[in-house]
Amino acid sequence: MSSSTDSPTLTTETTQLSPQPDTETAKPTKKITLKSSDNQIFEVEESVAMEFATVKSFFEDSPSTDTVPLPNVTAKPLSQVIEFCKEQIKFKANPDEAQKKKYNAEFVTEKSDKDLVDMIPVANYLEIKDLLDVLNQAVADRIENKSVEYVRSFFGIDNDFTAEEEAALRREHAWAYEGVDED
Amino acid sequence: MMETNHEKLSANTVGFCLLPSEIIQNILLHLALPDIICLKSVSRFVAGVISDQDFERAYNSQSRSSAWLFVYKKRWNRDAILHGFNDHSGRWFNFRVDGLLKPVICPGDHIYFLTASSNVFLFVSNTRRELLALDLGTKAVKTIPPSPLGPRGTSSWRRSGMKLVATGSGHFQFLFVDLVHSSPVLFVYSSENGHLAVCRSEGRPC
Repeated sequence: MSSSTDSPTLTTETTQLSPQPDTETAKPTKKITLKSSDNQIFEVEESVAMEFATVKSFFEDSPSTDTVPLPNVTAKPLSQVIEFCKEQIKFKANPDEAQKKKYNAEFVTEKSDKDLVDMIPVANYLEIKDLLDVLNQAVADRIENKSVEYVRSFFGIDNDFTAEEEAALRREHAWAYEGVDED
Repeated sequence: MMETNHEKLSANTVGFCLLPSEIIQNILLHLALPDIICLKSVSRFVAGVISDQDFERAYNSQSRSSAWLFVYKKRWNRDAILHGFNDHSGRWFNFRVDGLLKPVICPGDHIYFLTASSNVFLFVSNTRRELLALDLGTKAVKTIPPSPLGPRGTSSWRRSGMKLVATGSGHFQFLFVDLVHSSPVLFVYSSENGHLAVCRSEGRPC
């Protein structure tokens, strides 16, 4: 039997272009070690670590290092931030805005108030803009329409106004206070 | 797992007030103005962040994209209340403006809400045929003499094409159209000079 010269080729032409060239050059197998301020070691794939602008520039400055110390970051928020970034890498490879939105919403919904607040300085320090945006919105959603007392305890802020000063402020802004949830 | 160790140490992570104020501002930018104003009494630090000029500027430029709808409700034998719906927050806010209007209204006055722009809320008193301009930023309220009510001199009719335009630093222009000898005339009151200008239109709108 003669074989057909124009047998169907298996070439797929549907390969998506990755919008992020940085991740393409990264070898998926290479791991980077991050060390939190409480001396916990996190091994993450290079592509994930490069999501952290701070870590990325650290490597650009000193490429031979294998462990990046993160003196301002404790382990718990760091592990959550890594979890977030791992997912974002997947969305970069396969862009799906609806799924990404859904994931981001679920990511913050299941976190405690403290987890969210603790992650903000970490996201800020590591310069992960997407996460910072997600966290800012989530925190704003949680303090929206809440009482001053609620917001204080949410962020762990001490009231440093005297009783008189606070009463004066409330009188001044009384027009805005009606209808606030007290819980 | 290492969880117990984590828990113990994360208890002394960076506190909220040690965050750069830029981040706190970014959180607050997601809130509607009445919420932000309430938060001024959280602490001195937060009050400082909110009063910051950069924050004010950032908020003003962003808030142009959000819209308010106002309804003024008079409750029988009780204070009136201004309800405002904000499309960005997707909910209603209540504004206790009656206390702020009190200095200029007499018992028995019937106050109606006309329109709002920026910080300025324009009310009208039917009994006294006067306009009342309330600035929620400064909480100043003033009557506008002579009241720009147009040729009919009445305030109990709503004018067509009524529009309030904030012109900055607490000033505003109030525009409305009224019929003079069967042709539409545009009246423009400017709070800056207190004048009511009359602009006759050439063509007649259909």
